[in-house]
Amino acid sequence: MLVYFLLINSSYLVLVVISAVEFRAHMDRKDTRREQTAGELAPGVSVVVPAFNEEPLIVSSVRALLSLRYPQHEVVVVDDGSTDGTLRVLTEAFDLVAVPNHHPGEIPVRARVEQYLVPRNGRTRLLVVSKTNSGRSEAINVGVNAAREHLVAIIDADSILEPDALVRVTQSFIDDPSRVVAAGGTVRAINGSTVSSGRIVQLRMPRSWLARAQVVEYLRSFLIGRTGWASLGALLLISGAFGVYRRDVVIDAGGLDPDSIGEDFELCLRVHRMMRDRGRDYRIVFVPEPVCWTEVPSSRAVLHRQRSRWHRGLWETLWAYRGMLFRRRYGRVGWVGLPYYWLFELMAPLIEAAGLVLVPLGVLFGVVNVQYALVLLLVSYGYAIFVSLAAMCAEEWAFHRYDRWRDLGIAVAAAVFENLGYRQMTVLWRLEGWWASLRGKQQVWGVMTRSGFEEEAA
Amino acid sequence: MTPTLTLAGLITLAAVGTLVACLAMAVTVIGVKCERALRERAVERRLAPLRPVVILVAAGEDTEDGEALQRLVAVTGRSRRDLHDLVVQVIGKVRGEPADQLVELLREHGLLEDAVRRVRSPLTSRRVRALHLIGCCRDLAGLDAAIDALEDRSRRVRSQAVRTVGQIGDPRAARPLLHALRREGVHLGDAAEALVGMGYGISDALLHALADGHPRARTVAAHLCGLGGVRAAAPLLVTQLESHEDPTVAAAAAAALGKVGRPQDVGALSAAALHFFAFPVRHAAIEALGELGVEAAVPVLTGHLDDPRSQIAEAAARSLIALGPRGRRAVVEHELLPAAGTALALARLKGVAV
Repeated sequence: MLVYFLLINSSYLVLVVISAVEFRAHMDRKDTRREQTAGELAPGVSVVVPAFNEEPLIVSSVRALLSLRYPQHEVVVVDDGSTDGTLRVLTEAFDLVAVPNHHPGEIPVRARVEQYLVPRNGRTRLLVVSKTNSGRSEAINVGVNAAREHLVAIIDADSILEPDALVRVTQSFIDDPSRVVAAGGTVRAINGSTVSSGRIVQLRMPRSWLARAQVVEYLRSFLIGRTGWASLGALLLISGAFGVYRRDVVIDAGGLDPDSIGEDFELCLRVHRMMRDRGRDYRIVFVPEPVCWTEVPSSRAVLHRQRSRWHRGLWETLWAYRGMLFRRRYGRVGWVGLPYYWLFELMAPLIEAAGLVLVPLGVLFGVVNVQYALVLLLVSYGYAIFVSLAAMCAEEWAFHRYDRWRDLGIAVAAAVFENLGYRQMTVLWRLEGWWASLRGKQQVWGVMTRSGFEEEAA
Repeated sequence: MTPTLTLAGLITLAAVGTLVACLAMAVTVIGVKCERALRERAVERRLAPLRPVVILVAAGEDTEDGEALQRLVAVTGRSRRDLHDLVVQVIGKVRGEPADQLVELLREHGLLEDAVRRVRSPLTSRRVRALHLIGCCRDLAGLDAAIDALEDRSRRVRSQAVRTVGQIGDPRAARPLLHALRREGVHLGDAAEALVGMGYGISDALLHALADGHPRARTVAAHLCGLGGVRAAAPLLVTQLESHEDPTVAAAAAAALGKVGRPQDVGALSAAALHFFAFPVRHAAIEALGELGVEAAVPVLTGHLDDPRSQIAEAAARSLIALGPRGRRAVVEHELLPAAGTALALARLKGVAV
């Protein structure tokens, strides 16, 4: 067990080192690089936003997306059969009119598309598609079908993008147009910050410790984990909160799987498998600079559902793609990425839970030496705290987005809390998700309650 | 040593080691922030009296005898280095005489001469910074060094050299730049921007790259031939389109033909739009047929209105509408097809008479 903890944290540390090399290059470029513009070769981007009951936020989100700094982008909002006034507020705010007879697109969908709406002025690059409720994946597939540009950026309705997010994330597509098929961007937690007109005006640490722990967790998993994996050429997950794909590749892959719970992970793996099966030279890249901000759950109930669902999705997807393991054709994905996910992402809560139960029992019955138990506890959690702090150090060095000393202090404390309290909580929830899948229990999606960031009054 | 003692030692070691490592990392986090805050404060303090003077010069409001500039020339010590950084930041935002004055200031301080020398420094970061400075100052004396740096062993240096030759804007750098595209580290977007910065004098270099260049150079050259209206490129673009060696090059060639193609190129574009070619090539060809404005393309585009790929069908409908009355008539005749219906509705909203 001790060996397992040492291995998992050492693997994180290796990723920290790989990411640090990337950040070093980033820092070197910082002083001398040009102000990034999309440039002459910028490909068009369709920003696809699935929306279900987003009435309070949707208009400001769409306005912010339309005003992103990019020469050629459109916004495609897919109203997934909302029961509130999402469609009504959009129609009123953008003076939408129905367009008859739209092309159904290439990805088959089960839901019925009710109408396509565009602004009456004919110039604002917004398309709203209304469909019967059938879930996020189908909503995205409808959006990809309706998209008119070469790239599709898939984001959540409550995601807040940096004004030049598309400029940053498309650089790899511009430089290597035939090989780059997808790009992920760093997603950070926005809770506690002030947002005005869909833009962050004041970045602060969240007020709840649950959200603070997730700030550190996101830092470690996005900034360090995914930057490292992308450098190794084995990035297996592009977050649903923000990911950019070549539209033709998503279509060739068949779009998102509406029956999958870990649909973002599943799509990314499917793209890997498809490209490698076809013997194509391709790249899936990652942008370490923060490009997207999202609200993380600040209540135990919502976090519980989210983590349970994530782990269930992880298990189901890994199981579905077990055929890629240790196959020469799948290269680093099959030999490094997937085994890592099996060993250190899927099994982690099981082994940690076993440790949390068996070690105290062993001590109680005198089977395990108390001192050995203490060593185990100290080394495993101490090492994990060290890794979290290392991730924070990398952030502070390269991006330093939190300007207050207070926020830095809170983040350091959160790195401790994340490993002593928060993590143990999520272990149980993750196991619950896994167990629910093994029993064949139906997944209930639940509702994300929003309260994390303050919308500044206009 | 008994096993118990060994365990006790191990626990102590582990506890102390872990604690020390965590504390060291926490101190490092705070140290990183502290160091940056102190450095920024010190620079700000040193620059406080100089900033208004720099702004005065940059705004072109210096006195006739150049009093403000002389004050900046006289700066010495650590403030001088900070002043250089500030001037480099400002210089890219101004044009004309104020920009020349700021460049003159750096020249007086020997910085530009030094930069040309430092482009050959063994340190990568020093070469990058030197090139950055030469580019910001658009220093023609540094052009040869920047052209040499396009073939530097470091990709960071090559990448910066591309931007530098673009900022200098001398067309002599066009051929070496297009040649350098065969190597990694030269960003395609940066190269295109740099070449645009060199003006119309690069057309020969573009034609040369289009005929003999690396696929990356051909992609950029094709794109810029379209953008810059290099009509002489049409036959070469057709060759690239028909060779089907590289879909990215073919798509760029098709898009460029939409802008600089001849009526006889409709055939090549129509052939490239056929269903068995790569999607980006087909899409670019269909759009180019609309842009080219030759009515002979109407039957071909009409045939794509019911293409199973929605973007192809929609592009065909848009192109037909762009082709004028005959094309619009064809769309109206097929209004029941989804792509045609949508394109007509959007065109009507934009006020197009259909």
